Amino acid sequence: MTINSHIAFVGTPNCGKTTLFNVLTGMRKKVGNFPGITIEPSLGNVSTGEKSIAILDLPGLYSMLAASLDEELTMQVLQKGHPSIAQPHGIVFVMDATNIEKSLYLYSQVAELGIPMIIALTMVDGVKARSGVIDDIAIERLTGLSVFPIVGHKGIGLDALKQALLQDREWNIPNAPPIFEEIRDRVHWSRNTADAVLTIKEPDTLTSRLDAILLHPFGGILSFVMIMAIFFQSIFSWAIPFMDLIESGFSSLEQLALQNLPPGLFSDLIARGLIAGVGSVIVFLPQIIILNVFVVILEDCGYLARAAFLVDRFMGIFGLQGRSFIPLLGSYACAIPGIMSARIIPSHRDRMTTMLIAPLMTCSARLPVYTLIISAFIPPMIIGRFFSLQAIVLAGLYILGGLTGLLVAFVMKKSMFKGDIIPFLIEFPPYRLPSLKSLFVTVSDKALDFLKSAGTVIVALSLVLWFLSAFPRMEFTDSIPEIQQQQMQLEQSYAGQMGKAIAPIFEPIGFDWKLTIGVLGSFAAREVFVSVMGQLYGADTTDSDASLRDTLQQTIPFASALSVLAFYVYALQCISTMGILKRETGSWKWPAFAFVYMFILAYGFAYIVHAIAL
Amino acid sequence: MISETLRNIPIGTIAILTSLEGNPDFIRRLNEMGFLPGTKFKLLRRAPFGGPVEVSYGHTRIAFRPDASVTIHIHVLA
Repeated sequence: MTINSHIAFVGTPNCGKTTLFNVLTGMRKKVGNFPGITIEPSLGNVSTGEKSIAILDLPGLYSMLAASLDEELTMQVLQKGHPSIAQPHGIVFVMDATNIEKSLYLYSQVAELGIPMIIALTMVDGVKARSGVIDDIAIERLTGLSVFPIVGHKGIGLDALKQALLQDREWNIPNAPPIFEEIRDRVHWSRNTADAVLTIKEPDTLTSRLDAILLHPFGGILSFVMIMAIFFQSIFSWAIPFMDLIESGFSSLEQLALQNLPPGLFSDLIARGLIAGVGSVIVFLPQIIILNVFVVILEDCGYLARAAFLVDRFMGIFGLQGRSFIPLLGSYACAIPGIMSARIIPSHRDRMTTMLIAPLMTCSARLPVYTLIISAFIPPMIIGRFFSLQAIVLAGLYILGGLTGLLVAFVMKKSMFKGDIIPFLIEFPPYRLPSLKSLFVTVSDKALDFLKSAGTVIVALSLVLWFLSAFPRMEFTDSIPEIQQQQMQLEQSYAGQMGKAIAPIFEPIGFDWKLTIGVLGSFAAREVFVSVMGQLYGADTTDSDASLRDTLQQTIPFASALSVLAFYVYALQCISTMGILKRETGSWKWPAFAFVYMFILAYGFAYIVHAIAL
Repeated sequence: MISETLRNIPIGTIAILTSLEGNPDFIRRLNEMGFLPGTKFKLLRRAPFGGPVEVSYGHTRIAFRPDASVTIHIHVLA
């Protein structure tokens, strides 16, 4: 995808640029897939009946001397155009009235480009709330540009700005700014200019009062833990009813298809391939939506910057920065929304590291595998009167995943993603009410984006897996019970043959060919392990896991069972995660890398556990 | 006036930044944010366990990690 003619939105971080962009463009956004770009600019349209203008939301930046890859993208597009994004023919410079000094600093650099511009002056209400005055006429005189004061959440000034957007050929080229020798001179110019155009009489008491609590050494940590607990609770439990609803909906649809279509290959393809595949994508939506609502609210109200401040020290131990915390916590529910939320990390290296370790967090899909194996093989002893051994093992597996992830991050930051361009540095925006419209636009964009780009990959891979387990077909007489038919079909299928063929690879960690097929089947989703085991051992898993549990207990050696647990802690057995990693990094290289390093970890750890347990 | 670094002064201290030494990219970014030698600022708070510090000057509040790669010299005013 390439963009040839467009208007770019440029501004400092937190200037209200994205909110303004969302409110103006609404739900007509295209998600660009630009080669070689990891943080993507959003592309939208503003139109009246006769004319439509493409506008581009570029990552916010403080200066035209880039400190991160993301800022570099903005700079490159503005200065000479990127291979897939042409230089804009006009710029909407979004100027934050409450933070006019930083905005003017950036403006003085952007003005040097000589591209026609208009200025959208945001947060004007924030200045009024503090009995201040912003002199937009003075800014017009200084810059030679049209200035449009905006009160975003009330919609004031939006119509005028929209009209101006559509007359983009009539914009002025900014007055040449003074020539600055040094950063110091530019800072002084923007400081003096800011003092001339803005008077603020009262301090932002709301922000300082909230910060006295939310950044307090004890109160801050306490409120952080509480907010994160609600956050975790919401993606972990509040999403469950919706996910159950979706799952049961799709499984009834599957049954409906099996009953109503003539039995045979076609009904199997529709039911077990297509419907199950689509269902396996849709089931992630509740978590993706809830997590994104949370992240957008936390970011827009200004808390995310504070949370990053609070946990930066802890994350710093592992070479990461404060913002990595949210994606990693989210990945404990599911790596897919977690990886998507890594977009809040401004530093490219930290974002890559965070995304690559996110699948090591113990996601909820591992839970069915853990519960099955633990309940079958770990005795329900009580240790120290209170703790059940089963619970301790389960908690241990949860902690092991997270801890290993952080250690891997440490290694990555020492090697492949070495070197911070700059250490943690963040500006605290004032607390603000998030715009509901912008929230809605962002969240639905993310959800649609997931369905379109990750969903298609996931459905395609699910169909491949269906094919591998359904072919070659076997003929059965009616005398054989259905459970046994499924067992034989799976055993003879390509997946079964592959399982048997690669079983020698897994032999050193104590897996027989049945466990190997279980591992292969898990690539659709980890919890599929349980149903594949059910099919292979001819046990009915629909009523309860009890019969399968007993069968496993009698047939699988203890050391192999522990080895399975160890393997599932680390292995990246989730095509959906790989699909989203490809989507977010722009290349199959990174999911392949994650798969390989996690496989090595899983295999190595399972080998050690198996050897010890024997 | 006492010459100090940011590490040792109590919260609430008002000081003037005298010099920044070390990591040029970090220093450049601090400068661009208006944190330049000669800037009068207040140390607002430190994150727990030796985490980032928050300073305010003018209408700006920034927080940054007092990274080992940069030495910050200040003159304490009050």
